[in-house]
This record gives sequence, C-alpha cells and structure tokens, in this order.
Amino acid sequence: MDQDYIKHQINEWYTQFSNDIYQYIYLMIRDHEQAKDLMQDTFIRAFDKFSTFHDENAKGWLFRIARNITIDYLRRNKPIAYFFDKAPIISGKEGIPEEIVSLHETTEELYVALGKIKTSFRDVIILRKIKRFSIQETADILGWKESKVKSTLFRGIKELKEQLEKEGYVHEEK
Amino acid sequence: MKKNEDMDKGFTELSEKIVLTKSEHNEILSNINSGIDQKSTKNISKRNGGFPYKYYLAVGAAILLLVLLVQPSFVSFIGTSEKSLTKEEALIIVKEQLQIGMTEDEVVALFGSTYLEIASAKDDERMWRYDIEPKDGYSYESADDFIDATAMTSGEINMYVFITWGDDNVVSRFGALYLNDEDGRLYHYQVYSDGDETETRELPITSKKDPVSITGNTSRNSTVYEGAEYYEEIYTIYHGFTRPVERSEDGNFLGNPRMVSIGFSDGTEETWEVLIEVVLAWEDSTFIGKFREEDEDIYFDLDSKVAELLFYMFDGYLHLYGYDIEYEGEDIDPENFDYHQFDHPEFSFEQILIDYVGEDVFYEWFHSIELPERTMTNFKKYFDLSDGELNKAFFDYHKNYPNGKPVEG
Repeated sequence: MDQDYIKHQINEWYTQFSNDIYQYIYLMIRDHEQAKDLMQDTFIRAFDKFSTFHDENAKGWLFRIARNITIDYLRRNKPIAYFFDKAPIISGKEGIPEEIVSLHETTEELYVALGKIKTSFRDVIILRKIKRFSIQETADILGWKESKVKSTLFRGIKELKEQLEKEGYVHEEK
Repeated sequence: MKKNEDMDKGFTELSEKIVLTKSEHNEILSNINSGIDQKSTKNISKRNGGFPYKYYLAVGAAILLLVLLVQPSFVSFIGTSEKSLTKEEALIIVKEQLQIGMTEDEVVALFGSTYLEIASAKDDERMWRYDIEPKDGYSYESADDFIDATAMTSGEINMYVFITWGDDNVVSRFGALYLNDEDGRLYHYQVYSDGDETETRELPITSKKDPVSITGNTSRNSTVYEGAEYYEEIYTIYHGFTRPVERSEDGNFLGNPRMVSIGFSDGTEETWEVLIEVVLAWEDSTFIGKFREEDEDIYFDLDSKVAELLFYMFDGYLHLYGYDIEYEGEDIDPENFDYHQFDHPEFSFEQILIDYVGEDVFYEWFHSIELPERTMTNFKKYFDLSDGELNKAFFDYHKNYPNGKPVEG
C-alpha cells in the first residue's frame, strides 16, 4: 500500500483520536511525559501494522495498540505493581498535566482513587466510563468476553467507591 | 463525593481536562511523522541498523542465487527441521539474528521446526517454545508460557526460547531464559515489540544449592521455587494462614474456593492455590519492604519478601501478570474472602527471629504444636524471650546488615 496514503491516514487519526488515546495511557500510567512517548509509539506502531487494519473501528483498533504498548510498558517498568495488579500509590497530583490541576475537588478525589485501584479495574473503568466505549468495543480492546467486561466494571466501580470511602471522600446518604 | 452522579460528572471532567497543549500535539505529531518517514526510507533492520533495505535484499538474493547454483545442499539446510543448538549458539541467534517481524519460516530456519506451540497465559497470544539442550528423555509439556524451573536448576534443560507471534503472524516479541554458567543464575533476555531489549538476572534461583536468606523465608534451599515445596514454605511463614473462605453476602460460610484457573510450573493446581492465596493476602497488605535494586543482594521484610518471591516466580517465567482470580470460571469477589489472619503479627515470624533462636530448635518447637498454638506469644514463652531481647535481635541484625543480609553461597 502507498506509504503516503498510510501516513496521511495516521495523521488524520492522530487529529481525531490523539486526545482520547493520551487520556487512556495517562490514566493508566500516571506519567505525563511517558504517556506522550507511548502515544507517539502507538501511532508509529499503527503505521507499522497498518496492513492488519481492515476497515474496522479505527478508534478501537488504535486503542488496542495503545493498550498493548501501555501494558508492555507496565510489564517492563512496574512488574511487581502490575503483578499485584495495583497501581503505584498516587498520593496527589504530582507529575500531571497542567490542566488537571484545576480539577474540581470531587474529580480530584476520583482521580486519586482511580490511581489506587487494581489495574484491570482501572483499565475497564477508563474505557467504559471515561472514554465511553460500548461493552462490545471495550471487550474487543481488552480481548475479553463481554461478560467479563460487565463483571469487572461492576467490581471496579465498587472498589472505586470503597477507595473513595477509605479516603474519607464518600459519605453515603443513608 | 456524595452520589453516583458526582462520580459520573467526575469521569466526564477527567475526560475533558486531561488534554495536551497544542504545542505538545504539534511536537508529537512531528515526531510521529519523522518516525514514519524514517521507516519508509531507511533500513528494515531495527536492531542492527545501518544496512539499506534494498541493498540488503539485492545482496541477499544474489548470495542465495549463488549458493543455490553452486551448492544444492544449501537447500536442505534451509529446510532442515531438526537443530541441536547449544545454549551458546542459541543465545547468539536470539541476540543477534532473531528479529521482530520475522516470519515463521525465518524462525524455523534459525531454530528448526522442533518447537512446542503454546499460548501466553496472560493474553493468550500464540507462542512457540524451543527447548535448548534438553537432556535425553526430558520433556515438559505446558500449554502456556511456563518454564520448568526445577529442570533448569537441575540442568535437565539449559534454555528456553519463547517466540510470540503477532496478529500478522510475524514475530512480535521474543525472549530466552537460560542458566548462566558463570554465576549459576537464571537470566532472562527479552526483546519487546518495539525492539527494546532487556536482560535481567533472576534472583534468587540458582543452579547451586545455595542458601537464600530472606527475611521471613523459612526455607533455605533451592527448592524454594518448586511447586509443592513452596507450599510448605509459605505455610510456614504464614503459619496462621487460613485458606480464604468464601462467604455469602449474609456472612454464611460457603466453603474454601478452589482456584482452578491455572497450574504452576509443575502443573499441580495445589501449588497454584497457595500462590493465589498469598496474592489474596497481599490484597490486604501494605508494601513495607523494599525492592531489590539491580544486582543488589536481597533481604526483605516479611511483606515485600512475599512479593519478591512471587515476583521471581512469576516475572519472566510464568507471565501471569494481571491474572484475575477465578473460581470455577467465575471471577471471585475479594470481598467474599476472609483473610484476616494474613500478616497477623501474632502469627508471623521473621527469619531474624528464627535465626536468633536457631533454625533447628525453632522448627522442632514449631512442628511439635498445632497451628493455633504457633503464636508469637508461645514462641517467646517457649524460648524464654523478652520483648527487649527480641528488639535487640532486630536492632543487632539491622546494625550488622544495614543494607540487607547478603545472599549466602
């Protein structure tokens, strides 16, 4: 296939989806600079693997690549944390993009709590709740069955709430 | 945060606020395009570099043609399916010839066609496993990307090479696990899909029967990583250990869950169960230890020691990262587990204490009584130790080994 065409397509996808992909990677690894690098790798990898793209959902396809790259990164750099399926403890908002500094208090609480839950929970919550992928799309990206997406999301939200409670943020209305 | 709606609003805000600046976007896009341009115009060799693609092809084709013309037996070499590579030969091939993007035929040309088709335990990716220098009669069949650590340390097999195939049926990742004769340790060489390479020395598995001294590790022999024997070890550390109990929502006992998701290196589910249970324990633990820096001798606090052992059992060997805990195919809700006794100080003995009284007498006492009696209170009573003496033992230890106790042997 014509390399210029592929390059053009990658550029177009970048314009459309780069913010989404950056958000996903950033929320998974919590490192702004590294997330930028991994996003860059994602689009270059997409160029390399363009022959495997077959008129499917481009966003989902790019997210699959982004996820593989992110998981590879986690494997290499945070093996123990990843094994135990825990994120490194995020105590505040250090090392984050400027824009996040202005988060509302409730969102900041959520952001911190999200960083403390299991990787698989975080993964599915980001895709479903923040990136608004459908269950089918999320299942495709994660390589899971839809039932697993549902049950993991359910448990993830539960754990997220518990985490918020633990931090004293949630005061259930009785 | 009071309501679910607040959480939804938070998700939305996160989605809106986490954005890159225009200049960051421009920089990244420019980098991407440079990367693409380089790939389009330069070499195809990611790892060796500097060899023009067209030139490479032309020269390769010419050499092949020449060889085919003058040396017909070369054809049989290309097609040779059996190869008896030594560990050294295989390592050179892995490090210098095997490349991301190679086809199956190219890999077969390097390693032969005697491989085991397996799948990665984590992602179910299609993989090949080559066993290098196995002893006569040795075989280890696993459908997953596991290794037979016991056989490696006993010399029955010298190396495993793992090839991971991508969607397009070309090599997407590869690695080799091998025993380094110089230091007797297992090394793990890996090349990732982006061409990055890593090589790690996997502690503390050794080919020698060296003692490994780790806080809280009651086992001091190399069988520490063998499945069944590992059970005993963990059991000993957390001798107050009760298997996680599954309970219904109203707290009724439902039974001990049987983890059936996967086996461990020797294939026994029993071993896996124990490991999983330790992981469950971890869910409720706090990281209080330290991680090993590269080439640092290891000595860990109880909690991180468990992490360390599991890490070295899994990382690079079993690729089980992120595995969900399953019970008869269903995910288990950790909430339904009762693992309150894990890490309970009354039921945990650090190796420092065991060393202090002497391992032999410790175990003599330990095994002479029933589980519930194996408490710190009874330990102090039996050995007639005061808290002050115990504190001194810890103090002396840390004074003598400020950076952790070196691995012996």
